Amino acid sequence: MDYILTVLVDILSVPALLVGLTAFAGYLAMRDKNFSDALAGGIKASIGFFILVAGAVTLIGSLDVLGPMIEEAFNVQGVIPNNEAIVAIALGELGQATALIMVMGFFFNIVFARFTPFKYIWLTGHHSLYMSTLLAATFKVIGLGGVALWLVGGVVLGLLQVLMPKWTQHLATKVSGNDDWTIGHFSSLSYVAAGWSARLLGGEPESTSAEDMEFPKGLGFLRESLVSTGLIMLIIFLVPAFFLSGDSRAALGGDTTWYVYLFTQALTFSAGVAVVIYGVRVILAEIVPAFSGIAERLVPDAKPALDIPVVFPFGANSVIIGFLASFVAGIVMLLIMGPIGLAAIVPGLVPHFFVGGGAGVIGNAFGGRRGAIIGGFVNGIIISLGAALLLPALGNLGFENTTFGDADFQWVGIVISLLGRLFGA
Amino acid sequence: MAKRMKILAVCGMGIGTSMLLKMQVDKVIKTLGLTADVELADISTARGLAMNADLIITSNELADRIGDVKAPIVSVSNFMDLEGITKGIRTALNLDK
Repeated sequence: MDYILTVLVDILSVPALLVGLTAFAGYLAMRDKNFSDALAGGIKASIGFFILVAGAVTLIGSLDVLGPMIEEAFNVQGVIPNNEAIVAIALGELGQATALIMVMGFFFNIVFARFTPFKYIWLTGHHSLYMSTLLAATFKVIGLGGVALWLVGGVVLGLLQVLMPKWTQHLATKVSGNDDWTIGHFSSLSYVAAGWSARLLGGEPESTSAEDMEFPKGLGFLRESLVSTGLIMLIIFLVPAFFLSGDSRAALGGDTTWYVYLFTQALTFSAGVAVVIYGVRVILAEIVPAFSGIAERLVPDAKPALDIPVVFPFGANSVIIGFLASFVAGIVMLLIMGPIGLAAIVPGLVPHFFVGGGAGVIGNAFGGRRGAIIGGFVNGIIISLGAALLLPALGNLGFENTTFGDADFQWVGIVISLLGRLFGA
Repeated sequence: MAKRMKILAVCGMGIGTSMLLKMQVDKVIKTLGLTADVELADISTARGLAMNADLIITSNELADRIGDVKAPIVSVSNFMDLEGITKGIRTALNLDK
């Protein structure tokens, strides 16, 4: 009996197996799936988790080159916000807590949607996973552990998954003209701020819409996260090298020419991100449909909360305008924040594109093309500041040269950290 | 239609929006009485994967970026519009003839 218990505890403490069991149970709970589908789903989800962790190993190697280089060149901590990178690194240590928080979060999401007026079901699985990681990391720093951590984390995740969609509902309605869905993307703060400031400072939305402009479509490649991550990483790895002393620079690659070495490191980082994304995809492809199927049956009148690109078709130009404005704000913040003693947050293309683009579409809906620029710019300021202020809340993870890129991860982490300090933990 | 089709749902990263498309397509396929495996893909790798796919579904803005592929592409602008998606898939698979 003791032996069986030991094995059971062992299984449940391996996050990959936990994720696999969840997927397996999820499939069994959906009436139209048979046992072999469930088994296959469980195995795939487990493997997905191992793939994700393998990506982390690749990532860390190149971040360990970049971090010290930025530190030596500019005398500041250089941090590239990238959700996939920080999550993959964190899961090595926080895998079990993260997996359990995510499962409980799904459970509480359904409970809250069923019994409160906030009738939303969150379908953006990767953001559930990232938020679970953030919650596991920050609650652990303020001293929570074990069952309390899983339960509190799960309740908070479930709450966020109904409250954030409620908060952004008016934005989705304004953009799309109907209210049968809303935004489910943990950048709600950026979107709400974009809508608010565009209404305040923007132009007349009908007559000055960004969508009436002729606009080059050449920037569409930015949506290819593989390409955009690779491109920006090349720049991020090469620029600091020019600020090193000649000797340090020459020593970078050992026997390899320094810029060839940095080139390979930049692309290695991007490869790591791609592996992590693949792992996330394999896990989610098994879990999200099961969750959605169960939720639809238990809360048939709930509205779905959806990933941000669902607003992109409502403003193709605004996406690009919002991205550019957000990225410019990111660069401005990079130049300002180092000198005032904050970490240097190097603008990554992925959060600026997806969130900046979404903020642009929302900004345009409230304040025309000027609104789109303002919306994107406001997002750039928020996610740069948020990334820097979040670092202390992450404990040891705050020294990894990468961090969470979206506003809600940032403010939630900061609030948890402040609460911890308030109650003396 | 005895053959099990392979459908590719494509978005920028292959983890968010494509998941929504997959779930919508799963519903449509079921009501049409067909069987299909719907897989997720990011736009960078979609072109290679498309060689073995019978159908590709993606958002409006990404449809052009997939380029020349053998499989028909269904492009979606309203992700919640199940009727529109059904219509797109029916047309692409020549089910209305």
